[in-house]
Amino acid sequence: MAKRRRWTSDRLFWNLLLWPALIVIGGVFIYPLITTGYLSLTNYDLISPPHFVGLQNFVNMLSDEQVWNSLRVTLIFSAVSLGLEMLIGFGTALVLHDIGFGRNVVRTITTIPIMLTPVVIGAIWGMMANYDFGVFSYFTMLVGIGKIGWLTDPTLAMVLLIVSEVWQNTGFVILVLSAGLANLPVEMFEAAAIEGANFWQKLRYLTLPQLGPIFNVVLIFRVYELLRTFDRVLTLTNGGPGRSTTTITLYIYNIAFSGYEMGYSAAVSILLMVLTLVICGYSIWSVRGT
Amino acid sequence: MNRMRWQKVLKRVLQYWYLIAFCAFSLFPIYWTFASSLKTPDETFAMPPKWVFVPTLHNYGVVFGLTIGPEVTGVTTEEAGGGSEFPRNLLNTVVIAAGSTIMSLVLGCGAAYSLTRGQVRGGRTVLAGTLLTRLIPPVVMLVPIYVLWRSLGLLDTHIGMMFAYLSFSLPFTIWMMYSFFLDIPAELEDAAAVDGCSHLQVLWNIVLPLSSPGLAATAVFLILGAWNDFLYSSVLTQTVARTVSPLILEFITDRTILWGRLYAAGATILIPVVVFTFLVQRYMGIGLTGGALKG
Repeated sequence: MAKRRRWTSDRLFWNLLLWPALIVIGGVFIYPLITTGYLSLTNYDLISPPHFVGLQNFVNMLSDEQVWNSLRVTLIFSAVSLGLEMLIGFGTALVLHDIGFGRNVVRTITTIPIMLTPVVIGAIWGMMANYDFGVFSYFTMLVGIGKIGWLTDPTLAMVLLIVSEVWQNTGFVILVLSAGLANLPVEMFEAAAIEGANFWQKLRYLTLPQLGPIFNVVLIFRVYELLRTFDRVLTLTNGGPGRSTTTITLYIYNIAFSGYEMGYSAAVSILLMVLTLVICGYSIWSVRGT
Repeated sequence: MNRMRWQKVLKRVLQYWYLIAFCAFSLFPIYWTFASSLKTPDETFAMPPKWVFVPTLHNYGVVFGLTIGPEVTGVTTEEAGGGSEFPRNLLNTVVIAAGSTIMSLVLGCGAAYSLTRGQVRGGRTVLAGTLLTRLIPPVVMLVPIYVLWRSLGLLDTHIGMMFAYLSFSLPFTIWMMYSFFLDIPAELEDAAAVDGCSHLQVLWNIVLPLSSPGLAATAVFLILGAWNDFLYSSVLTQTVARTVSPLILEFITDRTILWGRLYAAGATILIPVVVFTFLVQRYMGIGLTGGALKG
């Protein structure tokens, strides 16, 4: 008995295991996070020492047209992509759930794009959409539309960006939702079928309420990733044409490493952080409630 | 009876057609990348595209610096100079991904294990903290880490990159391994303790082997996270420790696009990812949601 008591309260051992990790996190996460807060209150430009300017950066942010533009771009991109991914993902998961044969093959194939390097994906879609030599031009000529200048039109560039994003990440929605569907109790549906419920009734009163929490989890993960979209934009459109596809992370990146306004960049990145925390935090909080 | 049967058959047919189309759509860009990487410059720009051709490793030769040959830029066909940073960058990517994954696993497993069994004070706070870190976009830390690394001389070093990746991989590892360790019944460890095993023996001989699926899943996601990163590697490296992601961007300039190199380099970067995806099919659900579905 004495041995067991010593077992769990062997403080030295447990602390030795825990503290190295905590120290590292302190150094590479907490410290930089606090520094961002500090930098946002300065006008640091990497050359002269930081100079305290109070909330000036945040005031400037409010009147910076590019901040609003990139916010709008990010939110539109995220909302449309999310909607499409959830709709197509859920629909495909339902179809997968219905068929008997080939489920695993489809699941494997649709999850391959998820893990691919976004920088590379952006470059590839950019080449496929090339006006003169891209394979998309071939397809559109086949159906009689003729060549389309995807990258030179603001709306089309956004469409292309959204399509490349939905192409890549719908598989995640499919994966998680089809796992959720597979775990639903069969008896419930059999009872409903006996009672004469049709497809839509089953969907609305049985499937959706049961899948609610899982939907939420998928949503949180997708929203978090969508809000910070950067890699694929850089190689696909570089924020263009003009600034029509400049997401907020891209703008933050440009402020810091093209304009060298470290303080302002930090301030805008805090804006992104708050936005992400609010949107994702709200979703998490509403899951806790169920 | 006949009509219902027809409807069922029709529904099945439509469902399978949809799934086949969706799979083709998912695979096409990947196929296109690999196929295009094996084309000669003329074939790359053929319009309508060539679907059947004789594959050649010319682009790979150019991108690995092994060949000097005609290089397609989309505007002209130039003679490419010999030599390329791609091989070294590829090696850097492998080293940094492996190194940061190992560091993360070692530190993270230790921390996670102590949080499950050790009754450490403030353990709950630590766990809540690791969850919170997953909500913070990495770009928020970018500037401070750059400034800090610059003053510490860690810019453009392998070890610097490994530490930079730890900022997100370590909390992730702790969170993942915590839920996997929880699944291991405490009785097993108690039994081992009664038999005279030290803490370390229990961890090494019992807990880790039993949680190896979780370890594998976590390792895969850590490796892929480092492999696919662009933001940190483009800012924190220059030449010595440069990874492949920033190099991809360099192939696209305002004037030209180095098509051949892009396709070959892109294909080379994607191959390990595709292979990994197949290997870890089973763990995808767990890893991608990070155990969130359990709690």
